Amino acid sequence: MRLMPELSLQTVVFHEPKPGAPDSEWEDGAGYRAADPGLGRPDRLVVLDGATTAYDAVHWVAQLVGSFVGPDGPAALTRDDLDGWFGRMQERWAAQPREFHNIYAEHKLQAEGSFATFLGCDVHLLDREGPHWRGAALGDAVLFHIQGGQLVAQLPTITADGFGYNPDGVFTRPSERDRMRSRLAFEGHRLQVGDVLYLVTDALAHWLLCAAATGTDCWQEVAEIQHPRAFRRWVAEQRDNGMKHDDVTMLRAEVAAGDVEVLVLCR
Amino acid sequence: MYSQTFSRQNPGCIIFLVDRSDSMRASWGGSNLTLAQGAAQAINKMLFELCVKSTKVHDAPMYLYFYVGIYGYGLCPRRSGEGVESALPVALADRFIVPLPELADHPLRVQDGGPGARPGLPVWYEPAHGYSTPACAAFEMVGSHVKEWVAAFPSSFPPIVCHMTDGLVTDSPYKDVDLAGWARRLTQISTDHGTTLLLNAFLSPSDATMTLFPDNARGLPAPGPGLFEMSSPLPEPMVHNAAAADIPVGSGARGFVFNADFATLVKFLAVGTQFNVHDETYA
Repeated sequence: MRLMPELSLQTVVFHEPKPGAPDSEWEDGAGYRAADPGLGRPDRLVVLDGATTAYDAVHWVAQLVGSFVGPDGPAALTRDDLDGWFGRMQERWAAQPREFHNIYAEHKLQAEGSFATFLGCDVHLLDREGPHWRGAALGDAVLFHIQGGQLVAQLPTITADGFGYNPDGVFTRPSERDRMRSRLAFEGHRLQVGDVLYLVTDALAHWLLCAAATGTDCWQEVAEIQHPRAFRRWVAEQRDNGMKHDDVTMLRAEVAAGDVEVLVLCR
Repeated sequence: MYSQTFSRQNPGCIIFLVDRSDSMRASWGGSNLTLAQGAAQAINKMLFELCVKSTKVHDAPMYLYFYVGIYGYGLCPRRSGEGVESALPVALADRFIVPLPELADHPLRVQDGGPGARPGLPVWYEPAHGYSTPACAAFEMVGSHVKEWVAAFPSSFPPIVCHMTDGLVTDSPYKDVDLAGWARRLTQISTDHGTTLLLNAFLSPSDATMTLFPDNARGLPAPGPGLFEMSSPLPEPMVHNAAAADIPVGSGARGFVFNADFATLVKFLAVGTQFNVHDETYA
């Protein structure tokens, strides 16, 4: 019998709000849940990007992140499970008590609501079929799978010119649910020690795709970032060089041999 | 040009300039409104939509993405006579271009939503009509305030002036300059991102043929050709808005509608005023 090496996921999140904005106006979100072999639950990763134009995107994103990596998240990243989770999230959002200070907010909540792009991923390191990930995406947050310094898989399959201001996402309006279900994109790929997954929101995703297209070793560049201040400096440099002025979020998850002794969550 | 987004650092400026001459009392074909009532409803609707866009959450102040102005010419109810005046609500009546959140806090009234219904829409501008059509003097006054605004916000998207009229100008030439000349003066005022945009809506009480966002003035009766020439070519953000609303616009289309009915006026104003806000950068 061949024993599988013990694998673990080293996860770190970096984020940066829009230029000059306080952290409280960072409208992206990211989350991580460690695997629980006893319950048969894989590691779970998520990145979301709340729409600037939407109603209270910060709280919608927080609700989605908290639930997705919590006990009431979708059991598996299938169309049916995600659809059911969308429904539960919409019901919970609608049930929240709110005192409106003016009719504009009330109208915006009821007529437009909120929405956020969504990118979720389950990482199965102990699966009998071998280590692999499976992800689901709705919108233009992107997962890049890097193996040996090369991009081997991507979710969703968006190109650099495919980014816009009106992407798909998870909406609070129940009327959007059928469209959300149908627009979900799925992908998966095998993993090995040393592989890195990047889950990033659109500004960084767009920058990475453009940089990769010009032959820049962008994957090494982002792999070397180890501290929030270094990330902040790096983002500022790229903004000066044309990166879209938007919230920037990067969740990096590296497959390592052995147990992780330290989990780093950078804020 | 016209690529600047509407943000808190670089807010926009939207001005409604409405003819309040006596002929605006006419009934608007296909509706139970007068021209003056329809114009007022359309203005209030656009202002409300801008307020909603500028609102993020239920427990925080509205964001300042837009400055707004409302001007009326013809009847001046506050002065009990004829001329041009700010048509902002009473609480702001001594001002001309104000931050939208201030306007939002000072509606004249809120429409009754009906028994058990949610509150209705706020009303900032009430219909009025009387006297003649001194559009030249109106353009002069708007131009002077627009000039002050662009000096304060040189990096913003240029001001947008939405002019609604049903008649022929009665004060041209004014100070030796005709209406086209006053329009040119207005549309030469610029920010770093382009010149002031002038959109003209000619309202018609009849069922005459309507022309929306034309690229030429062929076949239009007076004052159509003159208003067409004064109207700004649609910049890309307005072309985008038109496309999103399934309104076909050709290359060279201008911000002009001739013989607009009420529904078309609302669409026309939405194309010219309803932009996504996008806080790419902050002050």
